[in-house]
Formats: sequence, structure tokens, C-alpha cells
Amino acid sequence: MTGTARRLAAALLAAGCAATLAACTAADSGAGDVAGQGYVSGDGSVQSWDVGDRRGPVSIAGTDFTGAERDTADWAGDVVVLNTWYAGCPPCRAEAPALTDLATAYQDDGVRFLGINTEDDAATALAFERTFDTPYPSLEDRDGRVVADLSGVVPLQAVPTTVVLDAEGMVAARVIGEVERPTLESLIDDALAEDA
Amino acid sequence: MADERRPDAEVADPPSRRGGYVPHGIDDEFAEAAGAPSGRDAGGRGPNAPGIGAVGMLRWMWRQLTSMRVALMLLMLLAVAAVPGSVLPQRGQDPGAVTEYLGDHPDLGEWLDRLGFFDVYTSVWFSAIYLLLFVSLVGCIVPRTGAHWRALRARPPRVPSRFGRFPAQAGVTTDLAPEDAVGLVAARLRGPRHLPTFRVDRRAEPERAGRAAARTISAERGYLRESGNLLFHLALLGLLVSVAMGQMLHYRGQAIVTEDRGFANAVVDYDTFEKGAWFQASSLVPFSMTLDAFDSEFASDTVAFAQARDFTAHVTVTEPDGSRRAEQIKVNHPLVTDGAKIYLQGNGFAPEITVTDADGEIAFSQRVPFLPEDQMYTSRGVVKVPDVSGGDQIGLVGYFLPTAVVDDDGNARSTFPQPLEPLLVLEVYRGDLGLDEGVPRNVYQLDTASLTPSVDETGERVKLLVRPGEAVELPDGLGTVALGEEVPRYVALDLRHDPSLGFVLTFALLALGGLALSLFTPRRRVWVRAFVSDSGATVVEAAGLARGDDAGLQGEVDRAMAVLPVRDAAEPGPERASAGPERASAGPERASAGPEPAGSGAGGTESEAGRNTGSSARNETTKD
Repeated sequence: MTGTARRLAAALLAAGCAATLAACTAADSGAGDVAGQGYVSGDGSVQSWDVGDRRGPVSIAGTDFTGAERDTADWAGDVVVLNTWYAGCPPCRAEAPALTDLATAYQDDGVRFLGINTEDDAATALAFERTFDTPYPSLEDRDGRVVADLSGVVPLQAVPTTVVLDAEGMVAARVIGEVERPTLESLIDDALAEDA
Repeated sequence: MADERRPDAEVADPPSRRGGYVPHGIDDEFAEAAGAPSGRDAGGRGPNAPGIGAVGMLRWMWRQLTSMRVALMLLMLLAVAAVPGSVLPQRGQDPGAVTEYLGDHPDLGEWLDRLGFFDVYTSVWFSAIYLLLFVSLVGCIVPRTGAHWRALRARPPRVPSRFGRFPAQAGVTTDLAPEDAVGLVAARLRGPRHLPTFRVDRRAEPERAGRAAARTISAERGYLRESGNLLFHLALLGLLVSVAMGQMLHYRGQAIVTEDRGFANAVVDYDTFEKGAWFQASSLVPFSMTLDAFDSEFASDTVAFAQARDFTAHVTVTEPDGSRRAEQIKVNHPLVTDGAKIYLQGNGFAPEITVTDADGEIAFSQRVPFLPEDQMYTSRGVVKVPDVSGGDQIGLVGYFLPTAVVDDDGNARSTFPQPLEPLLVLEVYRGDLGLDEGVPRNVYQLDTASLTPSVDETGERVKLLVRPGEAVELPDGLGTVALGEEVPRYVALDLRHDPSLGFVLTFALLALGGLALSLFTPRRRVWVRAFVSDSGATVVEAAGLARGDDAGLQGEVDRAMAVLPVRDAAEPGPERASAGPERASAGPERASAGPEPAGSGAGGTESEAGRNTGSSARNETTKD
């Protein structure tokens, strides 16, 4: 066997290996979801931005599940918490009581909560809100329009994702995955403190 | 240069050659010149056995790394190192299986985990092998490219003194002057100007001991072989880099979209999403798409009954700027939008299911995608109803049958893929669906471990049959389940974006081209010497050498010599002058090829031939 032939064989093998390798290393599934679960879930990572680094302002509008029009522009000057969810999503159900609590607790501070639901039909969503006594509205976004509007500013990488907007409507913080009550509480407090 | 070398220098040459395997029985000029460029060979590679020092050690290691042997070893190692990745579960693909494995093998599993066996392809040791192989490849190509560049610019190797031992030989006696003869042969060897075959170097040899002054040609072809080889290696490198880049920058997502619904190109809207390490979610172009309608055609003839004929998804794409356009997606005809390709990967039915709980509240009303399991679209689906007003959560598991036939025993099956007689067959579970702990679950599976199935009096699982527009009582007073009048279709879309595909194709084609060049280009050398023999005629001798066995070599030499007008073969002079083992076979052919010299020329040469016979012994070269 000549050197050339050996080198060729080796190179071919290497190419084959490289291709398979590259294919294998690609398996990183992004937002830390469980493979094959049928949706992208988050890993609970928290990210917040200093005032100067914030992107926005974010303004979203849509119809909630009771048929009412909602527009964050009407809430100018308020801290707004956005939360993506749907009824069949376990982390959403797990964090729902905390969100309900906080929405009630901060109501007097002028903190607005708004849900974004890309999955459910009205009946299912309303049943969820009934179960958790959700005090705030949620936008029906089955065609993904609201999420598409948002993704230019703050990509929502998973369900649930919670986004805190400061009084100017700029993105102050984002939690990917299930949000812990104390975490969200301190994020809201920070946003309120800036406002004061 | 070469013509100044004395003949005895040739003899002294082989022992002075250091390193390299020199085969016996064949002149090794070729091996020497091909093995290493002579200039570097003389200075760089001295005897350096003891005490090479730190630099020497590094140099030695570098040589080892870039050697073919180590490259092959690394390649084997890579193959072996990839094996655990296919045997053990990998975190990237199946984190659940890894957790399960760790639970089953606590001791071994912990160590395997520590050594990275569950992330083989991103582990340190795997990367090390991979990178070393890469460095080895680069370290091999770069010096070879340099050497090849020098070889391309160097003159072909000088003419050896003796032609006798070369595998291909030819000799012609002609009336042309040596200069003209050499010119003719050289032109023939060089070939057409725009597509030269041989690189030709013409020189003159002065008269010296035992040999007449001569004109010579050194010609070499087959540089493209090494060029092709290098091109192949370089393209391979490019292929590796572009595949790696693609893996870093690509993304791929799957989404299920039902009729009249859509999805946005945002990670959150995909059912599954995988991406490269350098991919930025914010770089997704936020277009959205709605599925307006989905058409499917199936054969209804007996030959190919129920075979799929055509699938078409009619969609509307809304660009970020608000512009809309209608598109079609078919199997193998993806929709290209904003750098991504959207493939139609699957389809099925998403019946609209409404569950009313015991208190009469609508607890669930949703389209539920049922995944087809056979050609007749017998589709399996799961309904999870967590938000009941009171009591247990409800889980429904069952099949959707587009064209249902129920036999006498109450078993239903689907007989055609189109929704001609839709039927939903459901089993009912109640209890804790396990959604409230926050642990992600597969939406297409119902974990029945903590659920209680509903059974009838005989202990059989209750099977509910629901037809479109019907509402059926759930057992155990759980409420009712209803199926919508229409049965919407859904499509499974696969969206891929890989910026490297163009590069991959280019480099793959280049690699193939280089491979073809390096495999099919013959590497040959031809030497020609023309001198005036003692008989006064010009003797032109040629020798050819190829790398390895080369059946076409003799033909090449003969073709080059065929341009020469042969002095009449019947005359004694040329017969005498010609010598060598190939002569007998080559002679007749050449005689027939060139019958030109005749008439007056013959008379003149006869006397010359006679004069030269006496001194022909002097001419060793031709006798040899």
C-alpha cells in the first residue's frame, strides 16, 4: 500500500468521523429542556440588566381570554411583569401560586401582571385561571404574534419565561423557566426602587 | 549544474544519501527527489541521535504528531473513543436515560460521569484527540504544500548516465541533428501550449570520458497528482471547519401547527429546538406563519390502497415588516424564508376535544394532536385535564380513527386515512396528573402510575366511543367529553437553518476533484539523450520511469520518440548503434512509423556508418 493511498484512506475516515462527530456534538438542546417532552422548557436562569444596558421599550397588545383588549401602552409608568404559560405546562402550574400571590401583593404599588398564552384555547386557559385564582389577564397568542413582537427585544426562549419591564417599559430582568417567589419579588422590588 | 557532474559522482551518490528506504534493483533518483527536496535534505537532517535538547525534543514531537503513523493512530483512537458515546446514554440526547443509568449503577456511574462518559463528544479527552488529529492534518499539509510549491518551480531531475536499467526504454537512429531531434521530442512531450503534459528541461552535456557530447531532455509529468492530493487534504480541512462552523451556528426546530393556527419563529413557539453553541436566539428572524389549509391525497384503488399520493400545506407567511404572502409546502419542497428552510415532516389529526367537569364547568377545550401510528392514520393521543373545578384531575388516553369500523366484539380499527367516519376511542384515568410539581413531562405521554383507570362492573377498562358532534358521559361521574364537529388537520414542520451548507458542498466537491486528480494522474519521468554516434548518425535514446507499476509508461516513451524520422532500418549502421533489451520489440514499430529517410540520404549515411563501426566500442552508453 502506498503512502498516498494510506493517506487517502485516513483522510476519508477522518472526514466520516468528523461528520458524525459534528452531528453528535449538536445535541445540545438549548434552553435545557428534556428531550422529547414536546416543548421547550427553561432552566430557571435569571438575568437582569442595568438601567443603561436595557433594551426596549416593549409594548405589546392583544386580546385576553375574556375578549377584552389589553395594551401595555396603557400602563405607562408602571412596572410590568410578563409571564408566558399554558395550562398543561408543569413549571407554569408550579409557579402559578407565587405569581398569583405577588400580583395581589403588589397591586397597590402599581405593578401590573400580564400573561401570554401561546397554546391554549379560551376554555382551557380560563379553567387554569379558575384553578389558581389568577387575578391578572392573559393574552391569547395562538398565532404567535405577541411573542414574535417580543422576540426582537427580549427573546422568549422557553415556557415559562418571566420578564420584568421597568417603568419606562425597558426590559429589566428575565427569568427563563420556573420562577421562584423570592427571586421575582426582589426583581420587582428593584424595578420599583429605581422608579422611586 | 547537472551537466557538470562526472559519471563517477553517480556511483558515489547512493551511499551518501541519508535516510529513506531505497529499493534495490531500480535507480533511486526518483525516490530521492520525491522523498524530500534535496536542498533541505542536505542541511536539516543530520545524525542527531544523542542529546537533542529541548528544542530537538519539541521538533521530534512535532514530527511525530504530523507523521502519517500518528495520524492513523489518532484516527483509530477517535473511532474507539466514539464507541462509549454510542453504548452509554448521552446527556445531550437523553438526559433521562443518563439519570436512570446513574440510579442503576451508582458506583460505576459516578466514575463514568466524572470521566465524562455521558458527554463523550464534548469531553476533554475526546476533544483532545479530535484537535490533535486536526493539528496533525494541518501540520502535514502545510509543509507538503511548501515542498510541492518548490517542486513545481524546480527543474526536472537531470538525466541519468545509464538508461539500461529503467523499465521503459527506446532508441531511434535518425538523420536529424541532435539539437533538432531533441527539439522535436521535447515539443511532443510538452504537448499543447495551453495544456502542457510534461514539464521539459533541455540541457547540453559536454563530451567527457567515454561519451560523446549530447543534447538531453529531462521531462516530468504528474505534478497534478500531488496538487490533487493537497487539494483533497485542504478541502477536507475546509470541510471540517465548515461543518464545525455550521454546528456552531445552526438551529433546528420542530413545531406542530393545526389548521387556521400559526407559529412564530421564536424559540418559545417550537415544540423542540436545538441550536449550535454560537447561535443567538435573538438572531431568529421573527416571522410568523399560519396554516391556512392542509390537503392530503391517498390512493383508493386496490393496488396501492391508502398509499399517500400528495401532501400540501397552504400557509401564509407574515414577515416582521408586516408583509404577507401565501406559500405552499410539500414533501421535499421546503419553504425557504429568512435563511431558513421549513420542511413538511408529518401530518395528522388534531380533533377538538372538550371536557366538562362534574360541576358543569368547561375544564378543557382544545385541539389535541394525535400522532399517527400506521398507514391508516390510527393515531394515538393524550388529553390531560388538570383544571377541574373539584375532585380528581382527568387523563384521557386513546386513539383517533379517521375511518372507523367497529366489529362485533366492539373493537374498532381504521380502514382509510381520510376522515370519512371519524371515531375517538378513549380510556379514562383520574387522579394526580403530576403536572403541578413543576417537573417537565412529555405532553404525548400519560404517566398512569399514580392514576386510577375507570373500569366497568366486570373489571374491564371502560372504552368511550365518541363521534364528531357527540358528547359522551365520562364514567364515575367525572363529567362529559365531546368531540368537535370538524376534525382539524395538523402539520409537523421542521425548520432548519445551517449557514455552512454551501461551503460544505463546495469543499466536498473540491475534495472529490482533488481525489480524482491524485488518483488518475500518472506520475512519469522521461529522459532523452541525443548524440552523434561513431557512424555519424544521430542516436536518440530515451528512458522512462514511473512511480510504481505503470502499464502506460512504455507507450508514453514510444509516442514521444515516434515524432523522429527514423533512418532506414535496413541499414547496418543504426542497427549497430541501437542497443538495449527493448530494441527488438520497439524497432519494427518505429520503422513502420517513420519511413521518411530514403534516397540520397541513405547513401551518405552508409559511409558514415562504416566509419563509425570501428569506434563504436567507445560508446558505452549505447552498448550497455
